[in-house]
Amino acid sequence: MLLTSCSYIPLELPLAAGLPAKRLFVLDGAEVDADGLLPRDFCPYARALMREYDPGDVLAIAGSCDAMRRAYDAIRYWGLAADVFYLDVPRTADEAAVDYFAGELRQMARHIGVVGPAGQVEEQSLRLACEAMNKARAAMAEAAKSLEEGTLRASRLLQAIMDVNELMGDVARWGMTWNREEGFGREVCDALTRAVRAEIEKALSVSVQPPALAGRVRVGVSGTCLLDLSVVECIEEAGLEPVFIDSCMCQRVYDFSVDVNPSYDIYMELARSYLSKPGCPRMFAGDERIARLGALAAMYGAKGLVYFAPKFCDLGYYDFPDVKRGLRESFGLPSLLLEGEYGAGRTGQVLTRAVAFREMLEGRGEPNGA
Amino acid sequence: MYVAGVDVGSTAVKAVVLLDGRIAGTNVISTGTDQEKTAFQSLSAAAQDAGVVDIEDISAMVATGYGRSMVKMADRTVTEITCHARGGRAFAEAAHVIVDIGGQDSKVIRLDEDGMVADFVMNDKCAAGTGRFLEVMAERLEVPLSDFGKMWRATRKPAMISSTCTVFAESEVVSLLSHGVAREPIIRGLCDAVADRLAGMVHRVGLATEVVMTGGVSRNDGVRLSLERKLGLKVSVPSMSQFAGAYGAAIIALELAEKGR
Amino acid sequence: MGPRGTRSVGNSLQVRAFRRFARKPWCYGAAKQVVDIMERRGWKPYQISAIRCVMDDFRQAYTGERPCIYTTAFVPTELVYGLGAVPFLPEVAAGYAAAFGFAYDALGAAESMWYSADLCSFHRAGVGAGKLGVLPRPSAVIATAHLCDGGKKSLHRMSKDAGCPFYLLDVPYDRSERGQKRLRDQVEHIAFDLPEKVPGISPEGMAEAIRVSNATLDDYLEVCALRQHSPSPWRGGEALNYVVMFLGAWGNPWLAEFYKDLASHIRGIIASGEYPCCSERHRLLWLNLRPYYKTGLLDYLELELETSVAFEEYNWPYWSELDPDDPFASVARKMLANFGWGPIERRLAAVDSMIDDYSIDGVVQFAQWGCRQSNGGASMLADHLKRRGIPFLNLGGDGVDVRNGSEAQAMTRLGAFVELIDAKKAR
Repeated sequence: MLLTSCSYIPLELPLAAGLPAKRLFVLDGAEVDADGLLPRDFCPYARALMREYDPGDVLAIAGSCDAMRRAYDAIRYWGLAADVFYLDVPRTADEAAVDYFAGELRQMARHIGVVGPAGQVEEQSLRLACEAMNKARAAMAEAAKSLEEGTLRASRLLQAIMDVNELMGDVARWGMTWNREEGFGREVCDALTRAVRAEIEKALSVSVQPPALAGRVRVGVSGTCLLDLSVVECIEEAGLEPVFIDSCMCQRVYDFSVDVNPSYDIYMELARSYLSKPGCPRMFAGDERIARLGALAAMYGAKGLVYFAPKFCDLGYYDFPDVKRGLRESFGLPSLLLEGEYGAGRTGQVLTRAVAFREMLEGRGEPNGA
Repeated sequence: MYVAGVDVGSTAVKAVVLLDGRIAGTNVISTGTDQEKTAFQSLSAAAQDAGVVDIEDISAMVATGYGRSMVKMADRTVTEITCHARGGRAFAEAAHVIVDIGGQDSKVIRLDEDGMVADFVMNDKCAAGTGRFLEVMAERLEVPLSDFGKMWRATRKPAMISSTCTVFAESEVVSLLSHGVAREPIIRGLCDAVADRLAGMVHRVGLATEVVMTGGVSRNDGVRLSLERKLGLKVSVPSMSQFAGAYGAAIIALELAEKGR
Repeated sequence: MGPRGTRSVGNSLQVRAFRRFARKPWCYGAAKQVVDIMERRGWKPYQISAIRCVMDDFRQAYTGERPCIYTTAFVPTELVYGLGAVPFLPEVAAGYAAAFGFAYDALGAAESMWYSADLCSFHRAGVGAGKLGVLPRPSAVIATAHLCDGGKKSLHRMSKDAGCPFYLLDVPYDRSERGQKRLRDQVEHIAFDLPEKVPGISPEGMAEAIRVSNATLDDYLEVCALRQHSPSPWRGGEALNYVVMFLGAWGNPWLAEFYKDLASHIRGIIASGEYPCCSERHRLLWLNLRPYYKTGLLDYLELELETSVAFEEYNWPYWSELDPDDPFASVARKMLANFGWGPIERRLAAVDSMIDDYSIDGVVQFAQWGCRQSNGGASMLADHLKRRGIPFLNLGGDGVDVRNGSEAQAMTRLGAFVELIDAKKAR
C-alpha cells in the first residue's frame, strides 16, 4: 500500500500502478512516541508519523513545510519505513510550477512503477484513476452540502471522509477482485466509485434529523491540519455549528477535480488541479485564501471563523494573523484561534474558548443559524 | 428577587448573591478538591450574607470559572470570558478592556460600545504570568503577595527578569538574590515581566482608554502599577474586583430569572 | 496606535529615536565622523570596514538613495546588488534590535499582531520592527522557499503591508538539471520583471556583482584557512556577531575590504602569538546562531572555560566560484548548494567537513527556539556525531527573545559539556 502525508500527493498515481493508497491520517497520534526522533516543540503530525511501517508499505512524504521535510529525513535516517519517496510540491500554481510539478509526478510514477504490481503507470490507467477520484471527491462534496441543510453534523462528515480514506486502502471492501497487475481498469473504477458512494450514503443515513442548526451559531472552520476529530467535536459541543471545514482533512481533499480529457497531458492536468485546489497556508497565492474563506462564510451564513493551528505549526501561526485581519477588515467576521496537540478538543481550555466565542457571537445580536 | 453567580476558579470559589439587582451577599473560599461541595458552601455563605433564609429562594443561578460544569445546581453555565466582561463592565461603566488574572490563566477581553465581548485572548496553558507564578515567586522571596505593591513603590529601578516561565524566572530570582540584589527591585522586575505579557495581550485585542483589572491578582498593586506604566494609562481596580466573574454570572442569572417570569 | 495619551506598542526611547533619525541623511554624515574617530582611537581595521559596509547599505536603504529590497539570509545578495538595489534582511535587523536593546518592542509589536511566541524570534521581531516603522521602505521583497518557513511567510506579510512586489524563489528540493533550470528561470524572471515595476532597478550589474562576489570569496577562503590555526586566532563569539556580513553582503565591494582586513588581523594575531584564548583547552564547532542580546554566555565559554569556538556553521562557504557569464544560473547554483537544503545527509556531510578542517573536539548546536529546520535535525545530528565519537550539545535558547532561555542554565550545560570533553580526552 502507498501511504501519503499530504493532500497535495495524488492518490491517482499509486492506484494507476495497482497499489491501494490512502492518506496517513494518524488520528491516534497522541499515542505515538517520537521522543528521541524529533524535538518536542515540533509539529504533532510530523511527530505522529514517527512509527514503524509495514515492510510492504511505500511512504510518500510531500515537502509541505520545514517539519515535514525533517519528518522525511527522520523516517529515512531511523529506518522506520523500507521505501520513502519525497514529492517536491511547488508553492505556487503558475504554469512553470505546474510544468515542474508534472515532472515530479512523472518521477513519482516511475518510482511507484517499480514497486507497484502493474509496473509502469499506463496513461489509460491513470485517467481512469483520476475519474474514480473525481467521482469520490464529488460524492464527498455532495455530502458536504448536507452541512448547510442541517442534515449532517460536521464531525460526521469528517468521519465519513476518514472512512472513505480507509476504504481507498482496503481493496477487499471494493466489492470486486482487483487484478492489480492489469492496472486500474474500468471495472475497478466503477467498483471503487460504488464503494465510495455506499460509504458516503452510510454516513448520511445516520445523520441527525433537521433542523440540526436551530439555535446554534454557524461558523466556518479553517487551519492547517486538524490532527484528529476532537477539535470539530469540541466546536460542536460548544454550541457552534461548523458549516464548512477548510482543512486538508476535509474541503481541501474534495473540492476540486482533474480534467481527464484525452487531448490533454494527464500529468499536467493532475499537477494543475492539485496545485490550484483550495490552498493550504503553505501556498503563496496572494489574498485568495482570505477571499475564499470570506466567500464561503457569506455563502453558508457563517458568523465567524474558528481557526485551528496544531502547536508549533509555523504555517498556521503565520496564516492566522492574516486571516484574522483579512476577515475582519473585508468581511466584518471575527475569528478565534485554537491551538493544541492531538486531543486538543478534549481539553477544558479549548472548550472554554470555543464556548466563549459562541457567547461572543450570540452577544453580537446577529441571528443564529440560518 | 434573589439570584446568584458562582465563579469556581482554580484557587478560589467566589459567590455573589443579588437582591433586586444589587449585591446583597458575597463569599470567597479556597477551591477544595470537591468543587461541587465548595461551590455549594460558598453559595450558602453568600446567601447567608445576603439574608436568604432558604437557598431555594434563589430564583436563578449561573456558574462560571474553570470548574463551572461541576456546579450541578446551576441553571446555566457561562464562560468566565463573558462573566468577567459583564461583571467588569458593571463595576466600571466606562470599561472597554478587562484584564483578568486568575490563579492559572489570564485573559484580556475587549468590549464593544454596548459592553458585549468584541474579542478576547487567553494565555497559554502553562502558569506563565499568572497568579500561581506570582505565588511561587512570593514564596521564593519570602514576601507575602499583599506586600508586593508596597515593595514595588520602594524602588525606582526594577531588576531585569526576562522570563514569565515559572521555572526560568525562579532561577533568575535565585541568581539575583545570590548576587545581593534586594527584594524590592526583584519584585518590581517580576511585576514588570507579568505586565509585559499582559500588555502584549491588551494590544492584541486593541487598547482602549478605560482598562479595568479583575481577578485575584488585581489585588496585587505591583502588577497594576507595572501595567499602568506599560500601557501609559490608569488601570482601575474595582473594590470588589475579585468578584467580577461571579458578579457577571449573577447579572446573567438575573436576566434569566426576568425572562422566566 | 492606541488612544490618545496611551502608550502604543514599542514606544521606547530607542524606537522613537530610530524612527525619527534613521531616514535623515545628515545622521549618516554624523555617524561617519564618529566612525572616523573610532578609527583614530584604535578600533581595528576590519571592525571599521564592517561598520562602514553596514552603514553604507543602511544609508542607501533608509534615505532611499537606492531601491531597497527585503530578502532573507538564504537568497544570494549578489542578485540584489546586481539589480542595482540594496538588500535589507529583517531577520538581521532583529539581531540588531536585540543587540541595541529594543527587541522587546519589536516582539511586542508582533505579538499585538497575533504572531505566536512559538515562532522563531528572528522573523517575529522582523515583522514587529516593520510595524514599528523602524525599517526602511522596501521597493520589493524577494523571499526563498528553501530552508525556512518563517522567513518566507514573514516577508510575504511585510510585502503586503508595504504594498510592494513580492517574489518567491521556489527552490526545488534536488539539484537535478531540471531543478536548476526551474530556479534559474525564476531568478531571470525577477531580473527582468522587477525593472518594469521599480524605477532604478536593472539587471545590468549582475555580472559585475558575481565578479565582486568571486573576488570576495578568495579573500574569505583565506580567512577560513587562517581560522584553522590552533589556538584559534579569532573568537567565535565575535565571528558570530560578524555573521551578518557573511549572510547579507555578497556582491558588495565592501565585503572584500572587510575580509582582507580580517585576514590581515588574524595573520597578525598568529604572528604575535597573542591569541584570544591562549591556553585553548578545546575547539568547538558552533551550529546555528547565538544570542544577540547582552549575554555573558560566549565569554564564559571562551574566556572562563578556555574553550574556543573555532568555527561556525553559518560562516561556512558552501559554494564554489560563480559564473559571471551566466549570473542567473550562478545565483540558482549558489542557492541549491546550501547544505541546509535537501536531505539531512547534506548537512551532516558539511558538519563533518567543518569538524575535519577546524580540528573540532565538540559540536554545540544553539537550538534557536522555533527554528524547526535546524532543530528538526538535532536527533540525527546527535546520532551521527556519536558514531564519529564527537561530543554534541543541543543548547536550547533564543537569539532575540531573552524570555525563551535561561542564561544560568545554559552556562551550567556548557560547563558540563566542557567537562565531558575533558573526560573524553583524559581517557
